[in-house]
Amino acid sequence: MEHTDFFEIGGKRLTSRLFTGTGKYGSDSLISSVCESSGSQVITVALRRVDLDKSADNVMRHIPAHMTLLPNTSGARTAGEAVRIARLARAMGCGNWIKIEVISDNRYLLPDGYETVRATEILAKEGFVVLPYMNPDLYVARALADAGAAAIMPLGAPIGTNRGLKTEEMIRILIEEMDLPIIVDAGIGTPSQACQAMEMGAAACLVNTAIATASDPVLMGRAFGRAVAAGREAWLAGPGAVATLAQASSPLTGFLDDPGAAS
Amino acid sequence: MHITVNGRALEIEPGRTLNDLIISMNLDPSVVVAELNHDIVPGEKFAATGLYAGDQLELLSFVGGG
Repeated sequence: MEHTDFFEIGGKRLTSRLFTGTGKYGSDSLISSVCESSGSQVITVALRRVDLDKSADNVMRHIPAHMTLLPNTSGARTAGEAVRIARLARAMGCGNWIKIEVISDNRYLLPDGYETVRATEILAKEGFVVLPYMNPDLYVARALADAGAAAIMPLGAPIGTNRGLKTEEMIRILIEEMDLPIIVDAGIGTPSQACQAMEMGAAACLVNTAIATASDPVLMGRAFGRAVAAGREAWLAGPGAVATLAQASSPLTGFLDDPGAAS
Repeated sequence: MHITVNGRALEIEPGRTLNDLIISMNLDPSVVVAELNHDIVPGEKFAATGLYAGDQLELLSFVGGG
């Protein structure tokens, strides 16, 4: 199953449907172990000014070589800023994938749909593999598809909240209506919530905070890897019908002392 | 001469290259990306890029993020 069920983004064949992040770890040295325990093949990073006052440990040292790097444009408030960050990230020489994040709302960190579409259009034309973080809105999703997005990443709940799939019904509509892979990003707090997204037919989940801030991130990474795989298999298996009244699982005839039984 | 690095004024000797500056800051050039006067400088050109008075330089690297 693991080897026959894959999906493709930007020409890369992925067998793990769990994307992970590198933010908020108590110690970055946990990152390589989480990559291993979770089975993740795609990992996000951010781009920031070098701190001139202290020589910091570089996060890249902890990311295994086989991982596909997905830099984000966090910090961008406009399409223009996202494009600038994306070009700088590509100049780092670690591939051409980019997670577009354009956010000017500091309270809920909600993505700006209009600016996100503009940035996606520019960067897709420049040959980037563009994965935009977005509100699960069907019209924005269609505009992102037209703009050349490789996948779309709707939020389950605001970034870092661990609140789960608060946008479930809207994500369900995107899964039903869009041909692009839907990768649920942000807000997933527990493996059961990631599993639920996969059972709904999501292509993948991106989980950072819930793993990085767990008491044992390596174990939580493994739990998320298994939950995502289980949810995917459930989706492929096709769940049975839901009913209101009980439907007996055992035969309702042939009981002991059944008056109708043959003598 | 004065240049500006990540928004901060810095005094450097004339004739130094971008690569010299990065190494003098104890940074690994392979994990740094540079934007000089708003143009991206590819890593392979760090050693051939001279710095001049008034230059505006941004040095960035990947950090943890989601």
